[in-house]
Amino acid sequence: MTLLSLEGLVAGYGPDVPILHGVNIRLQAGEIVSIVGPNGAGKSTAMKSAFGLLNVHQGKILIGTEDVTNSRPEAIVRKGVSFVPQTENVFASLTVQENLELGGYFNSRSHVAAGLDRVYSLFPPLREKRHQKSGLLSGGQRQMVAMGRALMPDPKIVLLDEPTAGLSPKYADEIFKLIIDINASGTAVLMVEQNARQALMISNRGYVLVDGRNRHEGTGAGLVRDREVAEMFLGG
Amino acid sequence: MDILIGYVNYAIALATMIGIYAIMATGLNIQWGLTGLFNLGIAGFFAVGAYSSAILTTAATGKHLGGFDLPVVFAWPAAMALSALLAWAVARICIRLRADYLAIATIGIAEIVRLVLKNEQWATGGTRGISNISRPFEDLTGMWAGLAFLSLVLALAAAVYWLAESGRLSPWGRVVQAIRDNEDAARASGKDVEALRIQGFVIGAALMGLTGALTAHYLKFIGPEATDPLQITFLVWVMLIVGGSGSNKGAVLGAALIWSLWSTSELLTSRLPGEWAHRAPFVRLFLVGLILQFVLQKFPAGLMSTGARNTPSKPKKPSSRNTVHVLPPF
Amino acid sequence: MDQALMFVNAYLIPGLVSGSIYALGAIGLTLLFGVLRFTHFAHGDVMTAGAYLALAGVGLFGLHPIMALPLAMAGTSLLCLGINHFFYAPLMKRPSLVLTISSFGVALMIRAAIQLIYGVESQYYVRGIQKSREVFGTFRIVDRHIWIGCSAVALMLALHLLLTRTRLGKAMRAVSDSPDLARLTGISTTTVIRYTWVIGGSLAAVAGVFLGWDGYVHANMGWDQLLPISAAAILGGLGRPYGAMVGGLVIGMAEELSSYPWLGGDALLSPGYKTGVAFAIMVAMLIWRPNGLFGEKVR
Repeated sequence: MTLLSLEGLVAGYGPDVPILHGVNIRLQAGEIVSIVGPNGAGKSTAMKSAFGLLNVHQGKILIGTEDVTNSRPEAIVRKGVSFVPQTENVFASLTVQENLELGGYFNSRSHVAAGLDRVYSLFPPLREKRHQKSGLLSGGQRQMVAMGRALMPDPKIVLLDEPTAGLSPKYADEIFKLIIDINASGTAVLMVEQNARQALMISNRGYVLVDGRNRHEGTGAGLVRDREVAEMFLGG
Repeated sequence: MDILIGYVNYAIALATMIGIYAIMATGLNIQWGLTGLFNLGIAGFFAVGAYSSAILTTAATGKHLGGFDLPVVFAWPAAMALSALLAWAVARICIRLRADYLAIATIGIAEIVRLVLKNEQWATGGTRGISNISRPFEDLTGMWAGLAFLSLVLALAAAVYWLAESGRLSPWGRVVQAIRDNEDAARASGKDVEALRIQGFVIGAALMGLTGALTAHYLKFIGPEATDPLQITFLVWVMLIVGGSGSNKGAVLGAALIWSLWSTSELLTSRLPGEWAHRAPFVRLFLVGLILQFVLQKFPAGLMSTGARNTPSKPKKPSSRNTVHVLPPF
Repeated sequence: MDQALMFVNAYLIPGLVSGSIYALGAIGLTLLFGVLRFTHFAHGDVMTAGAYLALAGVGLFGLHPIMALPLAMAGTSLLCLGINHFFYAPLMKRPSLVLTISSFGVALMIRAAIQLIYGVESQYYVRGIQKSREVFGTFRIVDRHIWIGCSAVALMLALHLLLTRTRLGKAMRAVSDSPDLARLTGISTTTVIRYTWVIGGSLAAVAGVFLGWDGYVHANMGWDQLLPISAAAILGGLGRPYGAMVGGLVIGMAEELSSYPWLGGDALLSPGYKTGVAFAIMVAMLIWRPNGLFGEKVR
């Protein structure tokens, strides 16, 4: 079942000057899909457009079969899609638990309690630090808070923008493992990663974007082996 | 015939005040329009100029500091210099602050100036103020006295406009406008941002001091309550915003437009019966406030749009380019 | 002993009272700054509006000033929602300084409207000598000072519970922390902004009523508070409600204590310059600790 599809998307940050020139991306239930490509290819832009953060000039965005083109982020969250930005992704002056509770802002009280249990069992270190200000956490833990916040409403889809950016290789490995866990619990994941090889390795499928257009697509493992993709930006 | 003379005198008075406000609005345009400095203490610099000139020119009375008996040719530049000095002291401390902090600081300065004027009776006459200030040309007969003073004010306003316009087009003017639009870029290209902003602030304040002096001599009296300080500051801001900040022409035309409205509406409301005439000023003030809101919303660049950016914004912490701004960034 | 008694009655208690009033005003200013990212220059005049609304309640229905508080709070909340809707919301996408200019205009408009309706004479809630009671057998405290102090503490406690225990309070802190992330999380910023106006406006109303009760009600009373409440908010760090509480108390105490004859004989600073103290503290803060006593950057 297709959960999310971007169809022929032409979009940009303003009403003119598009950054995406016709991008097609699909996310099926149960999948992990990565968007990779060189710098400035429009990877993050493509993902953000799915979350209502861009002006769509042409094409459409569907969640399931519902057209959500040019909906606002507040509305999209309520349709079961969560987004974890790359930077400024936690409320730094709020405690870990408060961050998570806000993730369930529009859910009922019992739903929030269940969400907290689920997130704490996925990220046990957060339970210990739940009364700490999240601004004081390490980069990796902060990323966990951000992902935990996104998982609180029990979304169908999680969008991750460069989840391992700025993390040490050890933490990056851990985050990739967590992404697999999240996926195993039934949430489809669409992510953009600089760390393309590792991302594709855990992905069911991947898209390679170049200059705001689709260049390649295939299974994660298939793209890693692809010579052209490798030469282009996987570092040989 | 008397009615005619009345109208002519009214026209002279109107034009005189327009000239004075045009200088003030030009001063504010140099501070805000060109340099991007948020001054809500206009009345403070105005008062310093007014009292300085009053003290320097009046005869000794024993009721306030005085007895210098200087002619206005010395007193007015001195008034400007003292306002400039105060502005320099404020600017040295506050110029690096975010714009709204500077605004609060200037409110504070105006308040301190007011307290000093009220409390230091030996120098300022306290709440009674200073009276018997000489007005240039007052010995002329009939309307000539008013006309001559008006000519002086208009000549000064023209000179100020010419200087401000040459300043705006000069390399100095281009640099301060560049700082207003993008402080970091200007700093990166090696401009002494602080010094230039201090200059803009001081020049503007000197002009406000001059208008204080002109007003004191025009009214022949100055006291802490002679002018509603907040009202002066407010009117000058409305003049600049309505005219179009960044444009000297806009400042002058805004002054002419708003003061004409302000004054002629007073003429009309003064005929209202008793109680209403007392309350009419507040209706006028409210309406001027509405005009300000209307222009801010519908004519962001003012009525005299120059095509330049009307409102300087100095983003202190630019959000990453990929975020969406629901709220104004800074 | 006389000396100590005078210190408490003439300096300490007035300092605490005006400190509480400043704190209530400053909290609103700081909450609004956090959520909307602009300094609300009409906040003092919102206080004035609250004071006059209560005056209407006191005058028309013979209410005790405390009983008139709900009326004043409801009225200023509506006033704030109205000015937000008509004047600030349309400017929301423009640089924040445009909002600041607009709020300066709103300040004058509120003041003009009040002068139009009530005139420029000072008015009083209660006339004549106030009842006072003895505390610890030595100090005499006027009833209204007890009311003011207790209500201020109660309101601050209520605000604390709101900010830390309720969904709305957490959402307000979240928007203040990062408006962009708040939207991504599904928090409706418009709703949060509205509630912030209601809370800020209500607290300003209380501050205005207390100010009028402790002195007199006058159209300029609020604008004159803008300096001390801004100083209190800056002292505590803009955007930080707890900082504003501390800041208000510090400014209130400093103003009163500055005229205590610390060096014997004369007042240290002539009481006529009291307002200058708030300004001096603010300037000192802006120079040395522009982010407030409790550090961290204002965003």
